[in-house]
Amino acid sequence: MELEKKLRSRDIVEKSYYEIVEQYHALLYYVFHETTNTSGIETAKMKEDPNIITSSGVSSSQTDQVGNSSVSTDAKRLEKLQRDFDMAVHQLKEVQETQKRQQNLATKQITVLKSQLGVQEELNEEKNKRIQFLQDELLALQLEVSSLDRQLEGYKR
Amino acid sequence: MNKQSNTRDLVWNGSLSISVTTESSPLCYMTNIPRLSYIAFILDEVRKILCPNEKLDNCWLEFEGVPLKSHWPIGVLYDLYTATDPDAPRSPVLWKLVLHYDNFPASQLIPCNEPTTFRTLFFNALKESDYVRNKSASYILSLSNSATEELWTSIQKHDFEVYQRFIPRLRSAKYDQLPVRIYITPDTPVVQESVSCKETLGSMLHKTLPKLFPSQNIAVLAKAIVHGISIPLSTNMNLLNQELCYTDGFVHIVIHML
Repeated sequence: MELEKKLRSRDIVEKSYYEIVEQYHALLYYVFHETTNTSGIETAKMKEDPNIITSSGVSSSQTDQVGNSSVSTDAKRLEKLQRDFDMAVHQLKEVQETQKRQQNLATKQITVLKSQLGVQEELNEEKNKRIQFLQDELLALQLEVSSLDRQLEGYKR
Repeated sequence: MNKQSNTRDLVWNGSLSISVTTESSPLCYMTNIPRLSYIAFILDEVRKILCPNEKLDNCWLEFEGVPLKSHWPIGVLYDLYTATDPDAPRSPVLWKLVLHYDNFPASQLIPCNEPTTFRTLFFNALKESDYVRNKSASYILSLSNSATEELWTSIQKHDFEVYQRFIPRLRSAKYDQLPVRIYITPDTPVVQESVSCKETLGSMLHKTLPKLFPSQNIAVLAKAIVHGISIPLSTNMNLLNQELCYTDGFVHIVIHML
């Protein structure tokens, strides 16, 4: 008896969605089943109906026309593409020549600048030598001054 | 008789509403599936609707990251993985599952892509239970082809009128032994025992799982759930056999921690 009561209580909870799910499942099954049947029906109609064959013929002829026009269109497009390609090649060559000229100029400038740099370095070396010489002389003169100062002090005493 | 019939009817007609989705499709498949049934029976139908281009070999169902075993009864899977307390107030049940068709977890699931695979598994379980009960699987083995087909069809279509003809023999226990499977947690191996029909549920669990059931009469740490309801520990095992047995001849018990 207790088991029965518990089982009924369980069913109340676990079967709350029972009817909704059943309807959903039936609808889902119907939709998929109908889809399959519709496909079959269409196939059968295609096979049975002679008018469709005629329209297929018309369609095929239209397809041929479309093919022809598309061929000529493709040829024109190809010619245009060829012209565009040639122009692009020409422009590319011009750009390359311009770049080469600029590169040559840059190379020359580099050479000039390098030589100037060399001259500057030589001048710097000379300046350094003279600075060193002058510093040495300055030091010697300072020593002489200090010596004279000491002599002067001796004379005063 | 009336009591038996009512309880058996309620057990047989118990069902769960499930909804199955998949990552790549916005479609949702919903159905009511009997608690005594198996995922293997609906997996192909779910596949045909949600991802018809995929092979059945790669399809598997998942609930919260756990792959669902196709060869366990649906009711056992639900009780075990949702871990809901049947005695506490509960909200309506719509079990949400996810269908996958790649990275089949071969280490956790048995592929049931062939029609005969699951059937073989089921009948092996049936023979196993018959052997525990009667020291021989001769009844299952002696069934004629037509009777075997009838039994299998009644399991597949959940037809009680046909299945009940097999019940007296399937649930007989000449040697007073009853096969029991106990599911503790999803990560714990299943405990399989043979118990005497004269025992109570409490004494059986106290003997098998003494740490979880220190008492034979009172559920202190855990309780036993069968078919989504908690069973008093004073219940006789014979009653479990007659009223609450599953179709494969086993009594599947899910342990719910208190």
